[in-house]
Amino acid sequence: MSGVIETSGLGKSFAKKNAVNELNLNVPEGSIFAFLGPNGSGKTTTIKMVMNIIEPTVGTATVLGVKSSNLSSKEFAQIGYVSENQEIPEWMTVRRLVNYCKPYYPTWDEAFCDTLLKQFQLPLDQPLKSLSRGMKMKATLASSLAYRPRLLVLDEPFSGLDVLVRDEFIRGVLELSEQEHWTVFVSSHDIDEVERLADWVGMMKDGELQLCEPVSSLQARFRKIEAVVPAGTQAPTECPDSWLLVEQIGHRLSFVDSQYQDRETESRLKAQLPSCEQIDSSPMSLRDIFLTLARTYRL
Amino acid sequence: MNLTLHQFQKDCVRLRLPIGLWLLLVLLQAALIILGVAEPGADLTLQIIFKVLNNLVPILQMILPLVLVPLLIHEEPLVGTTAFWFTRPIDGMKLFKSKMLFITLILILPPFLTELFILAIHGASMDELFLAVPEILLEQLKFLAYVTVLAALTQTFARFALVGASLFIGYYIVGFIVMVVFWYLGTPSFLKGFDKAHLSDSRYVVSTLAIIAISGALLAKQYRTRDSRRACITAGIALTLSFLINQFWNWDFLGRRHEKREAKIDTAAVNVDIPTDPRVRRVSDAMRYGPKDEAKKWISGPLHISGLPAGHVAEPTNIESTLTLPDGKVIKHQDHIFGDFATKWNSSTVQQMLGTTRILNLEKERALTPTLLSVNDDLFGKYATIPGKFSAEVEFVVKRYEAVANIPIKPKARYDRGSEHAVITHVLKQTGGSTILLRESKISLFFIEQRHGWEAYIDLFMRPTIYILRNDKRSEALWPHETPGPGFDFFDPLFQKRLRTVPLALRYSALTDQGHKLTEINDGWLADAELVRVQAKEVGRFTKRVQVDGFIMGMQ
Repeated sequence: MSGVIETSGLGKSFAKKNAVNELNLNVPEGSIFAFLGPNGSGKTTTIKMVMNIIEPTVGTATVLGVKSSNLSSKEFAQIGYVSENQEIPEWMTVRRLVNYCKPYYPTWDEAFCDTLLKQFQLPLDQPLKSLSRGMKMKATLASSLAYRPRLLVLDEPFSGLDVLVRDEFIRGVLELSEQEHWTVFVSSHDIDEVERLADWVGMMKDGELQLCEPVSSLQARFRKIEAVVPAGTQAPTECPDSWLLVEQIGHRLSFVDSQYQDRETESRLKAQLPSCEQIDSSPMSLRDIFLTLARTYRL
Repeated sequence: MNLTLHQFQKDCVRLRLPIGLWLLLVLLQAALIILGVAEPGADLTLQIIFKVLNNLVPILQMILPLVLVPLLIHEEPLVGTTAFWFTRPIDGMKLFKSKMLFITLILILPPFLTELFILAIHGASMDELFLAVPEILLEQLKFLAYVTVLAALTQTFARFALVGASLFIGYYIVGFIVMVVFWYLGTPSFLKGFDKAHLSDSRYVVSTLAIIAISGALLAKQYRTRDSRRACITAGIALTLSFLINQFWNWDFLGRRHEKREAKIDTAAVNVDIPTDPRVRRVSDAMRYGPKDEAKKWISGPLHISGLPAGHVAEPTNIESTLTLPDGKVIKHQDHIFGDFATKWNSSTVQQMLGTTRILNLEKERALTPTLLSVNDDLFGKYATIPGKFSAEVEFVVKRYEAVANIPIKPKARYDRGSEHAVITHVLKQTGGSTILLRESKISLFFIEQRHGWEAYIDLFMRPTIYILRNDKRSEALWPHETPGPGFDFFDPLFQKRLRTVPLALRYSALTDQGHKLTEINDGWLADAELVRVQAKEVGRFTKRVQVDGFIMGMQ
């Protein structure tokens, strides 16, 4: 699958400290890619390099097939970018913002823009500076969607938004990306926000990409395993690498298998602890997988 | 839609209030100059209000671009990582063009056209207008280049102001340190350019063009690449280059304006004499600028010039002298001679011009007393009273006095000739005389005449005009006691570059110091009188060799 965003050995250091290190990333076309990681893990720096806002120290990034340092207005006309860090011309009204942006986009869809403005219930004649944070984000989003971008980059779009607005925002992006088959690259430090959205996930820690795969594959290979063991049984001391967070409390032994395969996990457990009984495996949410990895690798 | 115009339109809407204020200031300044100079009126209070506004408006005109330009550039900042336009299909070069269009149409064109209009209504010829164009543009573009580059390298107005203030203060601190070091160690010979004062004009033009060209290239590059580090280095190089040009540029392509013309007079008939009597000479301690400057004495003395054609005067401008002493010791001296205010006008020549009309209050003519020699204290102690052979090459500038106009003694009476104007604003009668308030204005252009900052002040005190109050019926005239008129302040020359206006108070008194009347000045006398405007016009230069055997420096 060709990548709408591809990075190769991408790195950025500030004052000799690596913010992003040797990043190799591929965001498939048509995917909703959740770029996750705690604050300071290098997500925003990566996005800024990808969008040619800052220059990488090493490596390259390509967006829509063009090297990020060569991104021109032609490519930006196909990219929608919404970031909590982005400054917007707050003196403008929503209407003026839309009218200002319009001539820059050959694919600007007037009717679609009107629909978005209505859908987001934006007051057209109020200056942006008088609007709430959520309204400002919606206005920026509307001005970034009205030209039907091929790629939508959302950098921490939900921070500071209340639950209701966040929900509307997510719903809006989800609906539109499904309808339009856009590629959405969304970064967040809060996995709950993107769980409903994402079909691909990348996790960053200390500037390095820990994993990058489809959510379906991730959820298929991660399983929470619980078994009942007789009193006095010791938990196995040498477990497979794929077993994470192994713990025994009384009669119950639990762990997360990161390479779950039906029956094989049970048989391997039986081999380790022949006395164990009643082995249960349960699927995990993206949040639980993230927490497991966070605890294991101190993300 | 043309995206450059779209962006320009957006900036105009965004900055409509400061633009309005700016245009208002431009119009206000034009109105003030036109009203204040063309029609001074009799209301002195109003004139002083005009005066205050005349000085205030240019200050505001300088401050407003310092606000407008950063606001314009920071709408789409070129540094930082949060600007809206970074991730929009806004082409850097189109943005650059739109900003330059704004600066040209809003900040350059209105004051430029206004100033040309003002010069035109003040009688500037087509040639003068043509030469005013590059002068105004160089001045505007240089200032805007500095401001725009600084705005392009900062993200916010606060940072712009802070960095700008730091650079401004830093510039003066560095300048002060350099000055102190030079005073202490002595100015390196390569930096001594005082004898090449006219060269500074060519240097100004070249360094200004360099600043404008590099700034333009830097801005275009910065809009294309947003490489602030490289842009800062380029800005540093531009400043250094400008400094170097100001010190080392040696092609005086504007020097033709300052070429010394030979005076077309019979110089053989001119006699220059230095009296041998040492009692007429003055010996004074030379001012020392630094502890390393050696202690010196200046020996000055009278210089008598005769044999000039009628209506002509000669003023020494440069002297190169040697004193050869009996033991073979040679003392050399070279100096520029600047006008002595008190002896600037040769009153007897003016009297000659007036023919049978006698100037009643003519003071005794004082001889010119330039510095003939400078000698260090040790040599002076050794040779002060020993006669030697003095020889000097003295360069003179020759001026011809011309009575160019007779102005009636009444308010609003005018003299207009080309771009030179004078208008009487008040005639105040007083015991034994009258004070006439008069406003003089003239156009002074960089590419026509030599003009440095300090010359604006020199002009004020060494004006080439004098107004004699003459009554032909009575064959009587009075010499003026001239002071700056009401409304004048010392900062005027800072704000009056091309169009200079000087209010003058000309006091004519027929009373002696003892209170005796030289004549009866009354309404009848004044009714028959007029102001004779006399102009001193430079006609060329000549050099004379003067020799004095048995020259004694004299005692302090």
